[in-house]
Amino acid sequence: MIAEFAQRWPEIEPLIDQLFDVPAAERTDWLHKHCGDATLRALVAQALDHAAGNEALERGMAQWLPGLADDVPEGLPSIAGYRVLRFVGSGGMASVFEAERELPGGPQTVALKLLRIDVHDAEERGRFLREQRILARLQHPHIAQLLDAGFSPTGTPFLALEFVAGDDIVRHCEQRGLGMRERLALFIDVCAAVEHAHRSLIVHRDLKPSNVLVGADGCVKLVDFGIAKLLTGDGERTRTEARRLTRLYAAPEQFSGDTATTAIDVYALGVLLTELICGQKPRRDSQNDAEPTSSLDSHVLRKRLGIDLHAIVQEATRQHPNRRYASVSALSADVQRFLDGKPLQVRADTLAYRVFTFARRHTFAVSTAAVAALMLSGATIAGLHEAHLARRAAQDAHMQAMSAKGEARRADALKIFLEGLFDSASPETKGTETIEQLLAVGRERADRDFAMQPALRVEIIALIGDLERRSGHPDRALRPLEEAAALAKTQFGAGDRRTLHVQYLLAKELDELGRVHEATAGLQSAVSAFQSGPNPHSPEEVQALAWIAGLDERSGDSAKAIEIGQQALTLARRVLPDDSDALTEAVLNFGWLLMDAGHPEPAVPLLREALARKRSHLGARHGDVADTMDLLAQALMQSGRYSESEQLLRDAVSMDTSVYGRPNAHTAWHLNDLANVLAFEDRFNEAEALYDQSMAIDLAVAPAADLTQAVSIGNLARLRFAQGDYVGAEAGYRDAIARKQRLLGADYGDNNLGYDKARLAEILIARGRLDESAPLVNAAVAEERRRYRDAHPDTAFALMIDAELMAASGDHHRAADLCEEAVAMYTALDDQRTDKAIRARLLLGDLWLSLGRNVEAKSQLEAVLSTLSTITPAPSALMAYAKADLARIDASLGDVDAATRLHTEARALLSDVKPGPNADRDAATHLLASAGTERHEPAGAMAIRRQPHPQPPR
Amino acid sequence: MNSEPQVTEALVRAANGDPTALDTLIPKIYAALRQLARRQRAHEAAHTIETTALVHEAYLKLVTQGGATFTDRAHLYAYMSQVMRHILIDHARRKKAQKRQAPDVTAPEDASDIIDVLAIDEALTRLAAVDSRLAHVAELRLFADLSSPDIAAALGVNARTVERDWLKARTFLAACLMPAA
Repeated sequence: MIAEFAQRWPEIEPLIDQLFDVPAAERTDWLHKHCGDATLRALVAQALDHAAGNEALERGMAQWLPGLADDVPEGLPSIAGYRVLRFVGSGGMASVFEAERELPGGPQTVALKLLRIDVHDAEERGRFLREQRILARLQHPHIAQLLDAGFSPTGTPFLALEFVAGDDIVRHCEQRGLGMRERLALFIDVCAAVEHAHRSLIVHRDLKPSNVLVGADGCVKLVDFGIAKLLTGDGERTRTEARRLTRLYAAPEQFSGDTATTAIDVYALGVLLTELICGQKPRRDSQNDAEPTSSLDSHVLRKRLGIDLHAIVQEATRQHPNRRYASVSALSADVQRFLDGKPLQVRADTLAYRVFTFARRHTFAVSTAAVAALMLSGATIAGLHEAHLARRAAQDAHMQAMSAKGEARRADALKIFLEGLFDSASPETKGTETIEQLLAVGRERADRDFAMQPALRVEIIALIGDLERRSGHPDRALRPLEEAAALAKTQFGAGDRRTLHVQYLLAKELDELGRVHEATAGLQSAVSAFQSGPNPHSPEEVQALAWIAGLDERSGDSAKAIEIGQQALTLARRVLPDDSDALTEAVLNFGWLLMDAGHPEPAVPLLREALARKRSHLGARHGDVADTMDLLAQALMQSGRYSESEQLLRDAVSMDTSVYGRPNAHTAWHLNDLANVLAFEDRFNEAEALYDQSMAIDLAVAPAADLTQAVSIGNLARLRFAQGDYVGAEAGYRDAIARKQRLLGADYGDNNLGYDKARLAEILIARGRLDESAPLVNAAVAEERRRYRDAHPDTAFALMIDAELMAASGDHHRAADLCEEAVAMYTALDDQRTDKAIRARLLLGDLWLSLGRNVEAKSQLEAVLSTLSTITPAPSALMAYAKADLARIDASLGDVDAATRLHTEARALLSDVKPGPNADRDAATHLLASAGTERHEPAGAMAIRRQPHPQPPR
Repeated sequence: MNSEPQVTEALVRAANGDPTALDTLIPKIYAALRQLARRQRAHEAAHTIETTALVHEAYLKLVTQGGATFTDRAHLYAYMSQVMRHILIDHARRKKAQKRQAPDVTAPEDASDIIDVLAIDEALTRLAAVDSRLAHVAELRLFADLSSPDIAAALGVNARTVERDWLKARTFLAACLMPAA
């Protein structure tokens, strides 16, 4: 535009040269006559329309020399009825004089304000006087009373106001070095005055420090109420108003010429508050002007004001008038709340409104006010009242919406906010990356905005760490949690429940990283410190105890674990309300640990209860609900209820898809367990596909899921084993072990190392490499015995593998002894239906048979078959094997009919088995084929095959 | 151009330390500067040392440049206005830089009423590119604070022409300063 103007100057110049001589009213016609080029006409017309610019240019150099801008007028004005004493000062709109007003009771000192406007015609003069009469009715202890108004002999309008001998509010505070509380107290007085004016339907329109004076007595007096309006009037003159306005203090809509509403004053008060606290004028961030946020938003400001006052300022100075505080009283109330240390309305609002559904209602209510304001645009003072009422109504609707949530504490609001961000990460909204960014932003905010509120900062850092963990990033979660734990100890003390809670979160994280001992030690000492503290028996204690129980279980002390778990649950049921999250956790943890300790039967009802609770707390679709379903599925798997387990896992996986939107470590776990259950059902191909899917996710979210990936590789190796592919099984299992070794280091010992050794030994025995397997088996048995004082599934499993090794080495007596111990252990655990327990009992039957203890073998096999018949769906191949085995025993005992019947049944079962490699089917087929040719085939490693073991996702 | 003996003489006196010497040459601008300095002392206000510094700066520049001979009033005025323009621009830039560091406490209240010197400078440069005479008139008017008759006398043209040139220059500058109103 300017470039075009400059470029065409040679054409423009002669035209304006002539136009200077044409009267203003005739210029348009003249231009049309003398210039055919419309663009050029527009340029010329526009150039002549810069009265303000011309005015400023005419002022010349003086305006750039500070202090000379407003020169002292020559002499003192003379106004009838007043004795002008001295010049006080001048601003953009007026010169002010101290004067005495002659009154019957004696002279009254007034501030005489000569306005820099010309009011010539009678109509304008009339309007001026009408307005001033309205203003004169405005009476408030904090408003300088308008006493009189009129015109000087030269026609200059003047106002006479109550004289305030004092400084402007900012200078007053600075000079006296007032503290923040004193400044805010003054600010609240200012608000009271403005509020009073608003109730009288008068908007100040030009609030700024020079209009807010503080007398020598410390009393706030606002001056110039409504004068901006007197100066400009309505409608077409608003642009002039915009130029006259103090740019910094003017609300955005004042520049665009919108109708004056109370929101303008709210805006200016926000700016005033900033200047008052900072002692300096804030800078308006012009880049923000396009944003629907506040004009006053910068890190510097936030730092100087602190998060609460900054929030107040932001809310007051929002770009859009309808998003500001609905009234001055709302603003003032929040400042008062700040002074009283109470939670702010604004913070609850801004944080919560993104999360809760009332946002829509809120927006709707506010836009009602916006419509009202639009309809009233151009209205006079009286119209303002209606706009005001509309705003009030909007605010009431808003308040109602707020109270639906209750007076959420600020910290809660923030927590809800962050958790809301996390939980709402559904496909249509945010993906993993966005969550990462959000958490990064959250962290930044915690450090920056909450630097002065360490207590809140601790909670937020801990929350961020926990959210990282829950969103599948244990690698990123550790540091913030450790930091929070250290801060909490110094901040709250060791006996505080918040410290315990942070320690609990850290323990969960360490646990997930496999650092069980550290987790146990840290949490144990935190619980001890807490129990000796002033307030034991809290939800935090229940949570911590429940988790310690789980940790104890994994570090080998099942009995203690169960005792503590039971204790935690009992405590929870006694002290916690029924809908408490901590109670749910206690139920869940106890169920989980019973399952891990090899007691799937009592675990199932607890996990069912936990799932029901999670569903009712979190809704049907939630990441935590899916995780709980997975745990219940594992317990069901262990009690032989494969169908139900499979269904639950499928539901969990589908829930993950909708909850997470993107590949997530949790989804990988759930897929893994689904594959495990399918493997138990001999659906190897489906299982393999799911393992692959799980590992693809692990790769996508690496390094977060490196450990899960190792577990999946191990599971896949076991699948190979079940298929009879021992070479593939060995390679895979060694890979899994190497990965876990690398990832866990010294912590591997706490994470199924013994179990993995036993598994690898099992594969080696199958390959006939007994010498290699022997040290592994011995180490596994020794480790498990050392770890678990009591009966434990892992010890039982190691013993069974040892039995297999002995059998394969020809020492059937030793093998039978070991296997008996294993079976006794499963029995002690009431673990009858797990795949491992069944196979141990099958092996024992075979071993007895080989030792000539045929009757015992028969009853053992019959018991196994009766257990197998309770498994759903029936594991056909394994059942066929058991029947073929029993047939062999019956045959050896001379019961040929029974043997034949069993053979038939076994063959029928085998026809149900899905095609594809299957070691159980092969073993059964082999037994059936060799029936009658060999009377006492010793139970060998080739005959007994184990299947994947479900591994809990920890 | 006519050499004016009193110009040379005044500059010599100024260089010798006579503070009143320049008054005779650039009456208005120098009076303005001196008045500023007086007000400064009188108020002792927080109104920054910047105006004082400005006065001294201008004065020093003028005096130390005394060696350069100004053959006539026109040259002196031109030089003076340029010095003033540069001083004000420097001043504005410094203030801008300070503002970037900290909010400005001393800024005049009604910033909107005041045209940014830097913007004027830019517009003047633009004007000089299309019409150097108009730019020259505007510069004398704005930065030497000379009236149309003063300028006319210095340039040896009649006052009406200067006034007309100023109106045109003002239109151009205003268009640059207030785009798309």
